[in-house]
Amino acid sequence: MQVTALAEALAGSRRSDGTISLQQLTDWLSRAGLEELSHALASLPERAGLTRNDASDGPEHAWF
Amino acid sequence: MRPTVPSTPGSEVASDPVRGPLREQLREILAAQPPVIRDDLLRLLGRPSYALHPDGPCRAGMMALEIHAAIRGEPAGRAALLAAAAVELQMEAAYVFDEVADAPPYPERGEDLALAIALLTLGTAAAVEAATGSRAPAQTLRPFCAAYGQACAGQYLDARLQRRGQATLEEALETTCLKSGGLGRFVGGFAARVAGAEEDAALFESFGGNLFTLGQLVDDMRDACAGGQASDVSQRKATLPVIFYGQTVDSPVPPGGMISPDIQQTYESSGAPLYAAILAQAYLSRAREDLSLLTRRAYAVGGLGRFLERVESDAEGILGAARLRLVA
Repeated sequence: MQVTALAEALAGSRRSDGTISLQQLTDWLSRAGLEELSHALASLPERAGLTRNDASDGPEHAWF
Repeated sequence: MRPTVPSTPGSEVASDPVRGPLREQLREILAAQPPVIRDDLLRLLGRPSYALHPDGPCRAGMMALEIHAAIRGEPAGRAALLAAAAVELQMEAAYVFDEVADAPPYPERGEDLALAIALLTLGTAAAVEAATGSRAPAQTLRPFCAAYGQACAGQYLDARLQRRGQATLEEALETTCLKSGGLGRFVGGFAARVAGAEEDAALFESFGGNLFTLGQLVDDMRDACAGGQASDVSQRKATLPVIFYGQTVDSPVPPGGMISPDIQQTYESSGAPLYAAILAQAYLSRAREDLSLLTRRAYAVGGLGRFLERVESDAEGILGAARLRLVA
């Protein structure tokens, strides 16, 4: 998995207000040949109805 | 860490037809231990999130049983239950080790390490018994030991990177793939071989490795800022989201280890949750592809598919929340 290339793509897609451009990130990943990561980005679940608690609630040792 | 919650044996076989027999098998294995350690082992596994707690997920054992069902298409017999108990015990041993490794020195540490070694040994003994009935017991057990060795290598690398600091993203990925992915490959491969699918064991290994790597990445996202001083950001853990966060230009170390709302905001705006979510989603896609291949090879993967769906469902909230920084 191209973890450094993905980090570079995210940094290159960041706007001055701190948001990340979906279009720029998608283009960057495609240009870099990172199709697997590009597809993963497109497949992320929609954010509708989510709250910040989703990021902190969960069982201890869910996996490790 | 000391085990304090008693186990609750009962008629759960009827109430939980999959976990129930697995837990009965685990209790049977532990019951043969000397009383001086047996009761503490039972109490340990009865703690929240551990195998004998009513809500314990038993992910390793459950996946082993679903793999057996996919291959054999029949209820688990003794060998399958022993194989599931074996991988569950090995994973519980890894949990205990992980807790000890993450905690500052404490008086009962030696006892807890002894409990972890006992679980490891009991798991190995159960694996030997489970493999006895397979077509080639030695060929079943050799990968069992080799694959668990990968997970141990991951534990070692994790501890070494934590001590050294300044881990790279590649090192964090290697740790994740060894430590958690290795456990998944271990579970998938051993369960498949005990069920008689030696020729496709690598595919079941791949499925398990991708699924457990996904699970670890989601855990890392969840733990980044949760738990105050125990959070991964506070401890500068060598996880992928925390290292990504550390490489951004404005990623302050929390004063006193406390995660303030500002620190949490900085973490979220760094893009670290999105970074980890994309990687997790990629491993989810790989696991789905593995499942498709298994389907094409005529395995009855219905239960395994539902297992994957449950993992997806558990991960959906945190993966979706990672999109918050994305704009069209």
